[in-house]
Amino acid sequence: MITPTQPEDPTTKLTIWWVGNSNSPWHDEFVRWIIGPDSPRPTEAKWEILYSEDGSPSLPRATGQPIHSPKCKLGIVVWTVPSHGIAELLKHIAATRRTRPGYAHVTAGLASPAERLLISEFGVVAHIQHPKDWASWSALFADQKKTARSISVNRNQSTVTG
Amino acid sequence: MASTAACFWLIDANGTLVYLSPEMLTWLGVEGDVPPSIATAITPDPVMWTGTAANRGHLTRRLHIPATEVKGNAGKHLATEPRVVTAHFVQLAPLLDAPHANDASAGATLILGCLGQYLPDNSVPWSDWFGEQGVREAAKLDEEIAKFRAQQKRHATMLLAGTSPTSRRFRSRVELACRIRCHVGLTGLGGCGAGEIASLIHHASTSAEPLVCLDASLMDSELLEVYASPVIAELRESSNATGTLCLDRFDEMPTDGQARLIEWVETWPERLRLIGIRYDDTSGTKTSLAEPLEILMSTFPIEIPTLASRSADLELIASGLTRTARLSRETNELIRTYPWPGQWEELTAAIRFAAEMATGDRIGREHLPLAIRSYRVSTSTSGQVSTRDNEITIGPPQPTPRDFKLESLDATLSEYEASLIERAMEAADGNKAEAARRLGISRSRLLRKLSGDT
Repeated sequence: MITPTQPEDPTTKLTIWWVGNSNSPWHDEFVRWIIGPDSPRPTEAKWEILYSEDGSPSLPRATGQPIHSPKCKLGIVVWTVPSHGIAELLKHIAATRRTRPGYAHVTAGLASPAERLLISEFGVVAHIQHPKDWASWSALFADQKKTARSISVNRNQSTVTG
Repeated sequence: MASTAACFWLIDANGTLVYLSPEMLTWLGVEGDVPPSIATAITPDPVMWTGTAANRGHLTRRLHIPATEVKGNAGKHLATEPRVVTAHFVQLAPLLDAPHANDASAGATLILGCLGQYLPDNSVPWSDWFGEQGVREAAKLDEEIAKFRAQQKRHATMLLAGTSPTSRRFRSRVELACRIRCHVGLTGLGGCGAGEIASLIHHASTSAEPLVCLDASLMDSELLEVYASPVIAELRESSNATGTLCLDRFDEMPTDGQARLIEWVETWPERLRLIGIRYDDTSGTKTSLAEPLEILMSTFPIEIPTLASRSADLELIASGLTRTARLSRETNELIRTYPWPGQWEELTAAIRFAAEMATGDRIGREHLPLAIRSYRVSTSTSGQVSTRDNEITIGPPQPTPRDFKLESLDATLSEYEASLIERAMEAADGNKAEAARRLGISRSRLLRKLSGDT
């Protein structure tokens, strides 16, 4: 069965998937940062955050145009670091990177230096250890050059626009 | 320090407040100078430190903060209630091996104070960390890491597979890098699988040493200091420690980050190893590598060949990636002819997609992603389209050796001969004897050729 692709909103520039607990200072500071004056978001651009509490986001598969450049990311996935350990988190990150290539992965939460070493090995580009560290990574968020034609967004998830 | 949410302050050896964090100022309700009554309340009496050897320079005290007046929104002065709070103090001794250790100011002792309660023992998740759950979690983590590394190794081995001369050269280069520990510079097109090759080289050559993988394009000196710390701290603390930094998009690294990296490499030339990844197709944002780093990257350069240049090996690689399913003849043909602009990432994603789509143990053309299964080899000679990032260029096709064709060899030779005679006549100002000399033939033969008589 062929599912028609939903029409793209031309003003949408970046989609961020927030995976895990959103009731945390990391989330609150992130939202405060992207809607505040220091936000890396261009004023005319609309960013959206899609939430996934169950640990595995439903990311759209890149179709059509292949990803030529490492800079061309389809979106950013923010994984919250659980307090009981990172084994399950790393499993989900590895599976997502394998089955849905083309996304930038970020972790947010307290992690020990040994855990951060592993997180980096699993292909996570940024780890936010402190809720106020978001601003240090503005280059990552400003860097995204998503090609709208290669993505179709699952709108069934809750959406927040900044 | 200003960005932290902690309430802390610094006191110098004379008992003067030298710093209060913004959060502490807010908590005190003070703007500007700290009133003397508050300064006295948060400064421990020097007598307290006598006989505290058992505390190793730590003190915990209950502070009585007096009432203060703060300005409200309407300019009214509001008085806060006196408060009692627990504070902790630590004496910070000067570093003996600090670069300015002889400087009098650098040698002064500071006292760090901070507010906060100790967590009650039952609030600390000891069982999570050290109990059955903690042990189970640690075992699960080890299992996940082993699984991830095994899969990366299998993928890298597949990427190296092949019998073509290009694949053999590439494989021998990587195998050599796996046997020695040196700086490695990987180059290739975007999506070429450089990360997997870097991981293979690291784990094969020095599996015991810590590896930090970073996106170098985001690393200014401050971020680099923080995110490379698992390796750099080891190098600083132990004279025998070694470590590896894997730097993706290395040639896009900000210059201050490069400067910090050069400092480290000069400090630990043998112990810090770099694996740099550079892409040929990231135009526009490159900040050329500093010379010392460029030299390091040329220590052992490895060029990852394009999949198009290894078309003879693609069938073998694809069948290795599928494992359980069999590729149809038509699928193999398409895999060989498709140009794979997304390189290794596109190939692995396509095979995975096809394996998910196929219901049986056979993968047909129809199971591949639409962009690939709809690909047709162009036979048109009217123009050539080349894509680079967001630019599409249309121009005449480049002639290939297979395009060579003459209408008539005799006619072409006659044309060429006539053009040479014309040039000789021009050079000799119409003098036929001189033109014949310039052409290396007799005058009579030249005259015959000019009259059209062969």
